[in-house]
Amino acid sequence: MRSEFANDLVRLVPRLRRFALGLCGNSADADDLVQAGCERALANADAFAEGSRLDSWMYRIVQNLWLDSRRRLKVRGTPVDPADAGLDDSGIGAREAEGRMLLSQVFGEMDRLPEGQRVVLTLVAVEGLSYRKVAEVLDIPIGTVTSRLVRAREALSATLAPKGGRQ
Amino acid sequence: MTGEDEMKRLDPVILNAFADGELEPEEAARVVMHLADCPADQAVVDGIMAMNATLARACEGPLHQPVPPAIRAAIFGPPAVASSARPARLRRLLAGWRVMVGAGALAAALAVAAAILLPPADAPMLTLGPLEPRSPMSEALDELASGQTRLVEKNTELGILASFAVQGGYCREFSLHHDTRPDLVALACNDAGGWHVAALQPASTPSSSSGYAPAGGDGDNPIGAYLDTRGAGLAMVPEEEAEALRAGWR
Repeated sequence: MRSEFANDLVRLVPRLRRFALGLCGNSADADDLVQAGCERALANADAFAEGSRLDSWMYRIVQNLWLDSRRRLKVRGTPVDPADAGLDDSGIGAREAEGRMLLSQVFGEMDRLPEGQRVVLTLVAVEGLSYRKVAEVLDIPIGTVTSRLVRAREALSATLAPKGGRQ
Repeated sequence: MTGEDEMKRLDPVILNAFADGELEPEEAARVVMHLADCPADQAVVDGIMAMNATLARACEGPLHQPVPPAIRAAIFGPPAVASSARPARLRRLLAGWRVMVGAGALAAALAVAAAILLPPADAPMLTLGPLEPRSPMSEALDELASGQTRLVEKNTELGILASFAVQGGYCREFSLHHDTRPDLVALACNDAGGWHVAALQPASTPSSSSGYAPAGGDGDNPIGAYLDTRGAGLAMVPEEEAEALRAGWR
């Protein structure tokens, strides 16, 4: 039933927005992406197989739309306003200037990652998906998930390693 | 780093899998033993965990925010757009309503609302008057933020549209969506120690192009009319609403 599908979809929106924020680095683009994803899902609701996981399907749709938009627009890294990323609300986000700079830097560095690595890193580190689930969502082997993840983290750690920290 | 240290280092794939909780318990235990003797790998694992925490924190905002009206509208389509996309519009439109409504208009509005909520063939989804304390609907009004929805009866979903601070308490505007009945928009206020429904109107009220109609006579805007009599200001911003939720609307 369409309204049931819509209700399931709206319940997923917070997680989809979080995932999209990890991909886009700012909430305006993330919300546009999620909205487009929902529209695409509703237009293709008949294609959604009853009994399969709506979240996996939606992650895939959002990821594909993001990749499409990247390819079309060749989006460069957008400066991230921590307030826009929801980081300045009621103690949830980083309050100190240093923390904000770090988060801004994280999104900036994330944007430099190859797209496949960024998607895997976001699904694992932000969404908390298991490697197996990520492989399922992206339809790639688990070995590819782990190698992309390791490369993404190595690239980020080269620039984001805390002062006086490791290495 | 010495050559001996290099010999002891684990494959980064293993360290990543350990940090992500992907290893079987036996293998994880072996890694724990190794890390105790290998500060370099321990630092790698610490770094991965710190990065995970940083990324998760950077992106967690949407989990604490209501679904944006534009996304709700995209999901629920035109009939629901008028009600669900309302809070932002409401803030703009209420300013126009404030000066136009009086007590006479309120009486007319309530009469219209009473007619609206009594569909001829069926029991109404909601009527004016107090809600049962601790009923699903009262609890939803107590607990949900704007933009959130909950099933309060079989096939009936309540969605919070906006909240208002009024003289002596708070009012919350919400929609009721039923699979087979026309959608309703209602206003409940909590000034008598519990929630009571103060105004109702159909979600499909003929409206302006904005999807919400600040009509001159206000007979078709009982919610706006009632809010005016209670001295409501603009809809509460999320921070104000979150504070009221924490305080139990007291």
